[in-house]
Amino acid sequence: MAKGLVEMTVRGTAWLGLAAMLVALAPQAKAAWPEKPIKFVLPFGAGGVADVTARILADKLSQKLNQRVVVENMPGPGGIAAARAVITAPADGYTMAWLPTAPPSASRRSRVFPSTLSGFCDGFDGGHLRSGLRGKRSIGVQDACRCHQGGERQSWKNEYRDNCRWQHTEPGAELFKSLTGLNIQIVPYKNSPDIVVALLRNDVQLMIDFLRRLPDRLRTKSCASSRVRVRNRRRFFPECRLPTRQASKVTR
Amino acid sequence: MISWNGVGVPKDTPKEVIDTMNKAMREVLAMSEVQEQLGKVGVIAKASTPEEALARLTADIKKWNDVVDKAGIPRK
Repeated sequence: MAKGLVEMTVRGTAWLGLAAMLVALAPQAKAAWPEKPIKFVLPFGAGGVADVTARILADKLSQKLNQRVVVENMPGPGGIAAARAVITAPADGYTMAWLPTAPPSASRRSRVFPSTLSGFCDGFDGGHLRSGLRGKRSIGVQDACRCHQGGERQSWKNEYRDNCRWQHTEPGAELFKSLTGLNIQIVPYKNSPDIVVALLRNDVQLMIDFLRRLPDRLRTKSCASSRVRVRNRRRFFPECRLPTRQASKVTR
Repeated sequence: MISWNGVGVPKDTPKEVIDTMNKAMREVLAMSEVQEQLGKVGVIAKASTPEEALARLTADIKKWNDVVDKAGIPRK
């Protein structure tokens, strides 16, 4: 009995010795990335196009990399909070930034964004989205420009809200305001669903966002699309019968 | 107005990590199922290399700075 115990102890020690040796060797062997979940920090709220896009890709990437890819929403001005959260994280590949179209933010926040941007190395790739103008009134870009060129300024007050301050839609809104000369107050929202509700409640009269938010509303004609300036809009949402640039006779 | 999304990592992230992620992202974006899902929300799946993404970002910064200046949009 005693002999058996000794033998077991000796054998156990040998195993422990081998285990210790393996542990000692482990740091020298490079672990394959990823060995733990990866976090995508998204500078938008939940429910918007970027959020949906990120979650579709995160799901597939999880399968491809055999590791969970988790989306964390961190909306805020210009995506700066999200960007800072990433660049202050270890550069180990486990915290990544979902980059929105950053240049408008960079141009408007020149003192802040370049330093944030410089914290990033290369982006990986991305999807391309197209945004358009929609509103409950038909205020076409061409019409508004004509008023501006004729020296007339419309006196009605329109508000339109964009997705999140300093994201790409706000410079688009600013550009629209500048080109049309309309008296517009821009009010930022943090997520798309809230803007749709505000539009339907008539809190605002125009919104700039991605088309995906409104197909059902357009179909039931509770909202109307203003003129669209891209060539092949219809292939995304054929059911909405959105006018193309050619159909709208928009020339500029 | 065209918007794009991409993925960025902090400086000094190992190149192997970037290459692995880029390869996975390219494969995912090439999947017809993914393209169909993204198409429903108005997104065109188009992968790029890290170099292309950085070039696009840099060029867009210049472009939008010019737009802001020419349109007289006040800087805030």
